[in-house]
Amino acid sequence: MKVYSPETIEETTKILGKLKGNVHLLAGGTDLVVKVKEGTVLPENLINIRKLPLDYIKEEGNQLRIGALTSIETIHRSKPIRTYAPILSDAAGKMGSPQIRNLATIGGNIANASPAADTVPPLFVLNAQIVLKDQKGSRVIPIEKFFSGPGENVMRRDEILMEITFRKCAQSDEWFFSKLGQRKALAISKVSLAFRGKVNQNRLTDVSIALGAVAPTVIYAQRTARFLESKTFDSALIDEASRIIQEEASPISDIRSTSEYRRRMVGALLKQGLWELKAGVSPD
Amino acid sequence: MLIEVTINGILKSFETSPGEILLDLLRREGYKSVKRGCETGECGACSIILDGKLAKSCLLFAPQVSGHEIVTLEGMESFSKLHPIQRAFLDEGAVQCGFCTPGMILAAKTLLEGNPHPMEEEIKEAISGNLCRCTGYIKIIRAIKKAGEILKGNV
Repeated sequence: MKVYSPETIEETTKILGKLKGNVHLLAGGTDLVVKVKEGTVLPENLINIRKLPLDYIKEEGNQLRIGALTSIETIHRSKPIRTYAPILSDAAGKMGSPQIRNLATIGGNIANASPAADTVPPLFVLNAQIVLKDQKGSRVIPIEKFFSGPGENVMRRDEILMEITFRKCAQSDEWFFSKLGQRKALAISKVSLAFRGKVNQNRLTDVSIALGAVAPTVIYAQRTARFLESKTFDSALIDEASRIIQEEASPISDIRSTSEYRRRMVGALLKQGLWELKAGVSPD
Repeated sequence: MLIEVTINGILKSFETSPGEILLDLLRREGYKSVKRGCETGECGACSIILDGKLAKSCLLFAPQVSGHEIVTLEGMESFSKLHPIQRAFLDEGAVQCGFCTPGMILAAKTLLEGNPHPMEEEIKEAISGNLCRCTGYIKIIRAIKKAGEILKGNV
């Protein structure tokens, strides 16, 4: 294993452009180090990118920009993110444990392309854009086009994930992020659900829902979202939506759960979240 | 390759290799409070404080900490006097087999330094990455509360 520790982006993309054989980028290492130890990943070349200047959260007009090396804990505690993307802060706080959150980075959580990655459903409903860079220049990819399968993404081997950008949420946006795991800490999600929308005169509008761990990648539940916008926000709507969303999920059975359980829980998480939302916005 | 790292306030240099895990380096160099547990980032027995933040040494390659600062349990005693958190763990009987204790104490240290008045939920959150296989959590939580009181000067 040959290790490189570049200190600038230019140096990094140059190394990436030149290297033959397999290359792995080491950011927080909370997934990669375990895989290397288990032997499931055998890196010929390891590029430690931790020194790159990609640890930042910037506000620019109505946009937020998060550097790929920002830690999950920093995102959880960040004031701008709590204010303008509270769903992302909430999901970050539900990940791993303090030790993991201090090391793990948002870029790593995305690039790893786990269907169960907890920052990804919130980034879907935030309509986030992923900025990639190679030696020649940058390209921007909407997050829903970034993943191509479990553990797979559209990055070319000479590219580096630079930052994540999205529009700030409005104060009037309602949201919830629900995660179901074996226990609160250190559990990989069996199912996760991110919801964003507005409530206007007992109607839901601008609804966006993303589901984690129930398909080869995180997915939008578009049929459910459109259905929720179509009628009065009442118990019948909630019941029907939690039925429809189960049809949109295509979960598998694995070590963490069964497909049947995951499918039902997608409906349950939506139902629970919508009832809490309804109780919060209409005190009657 | 040679790395330099400050451990418990003392600058040290170690010969290591790119693939060596920090946990292995620390143990072979005599920092035996850093326990080898699951080695996959689940149990927290190998916890250290890296640049002021709690981290798991089984998830780091040794060269990654070159130029950084580490605190282990060995760095908490001063002149053979126990740190108030250690004292509180003893007084409250928060140690059963003792294997998780170094990690628990370091987790308590990072919590109490930023928040000397933690609520019970905040204590649980702070130690959520540390498993006690004896399940002695009640006394551990009690000890951390007491340590907070001692550090505030209330006891």
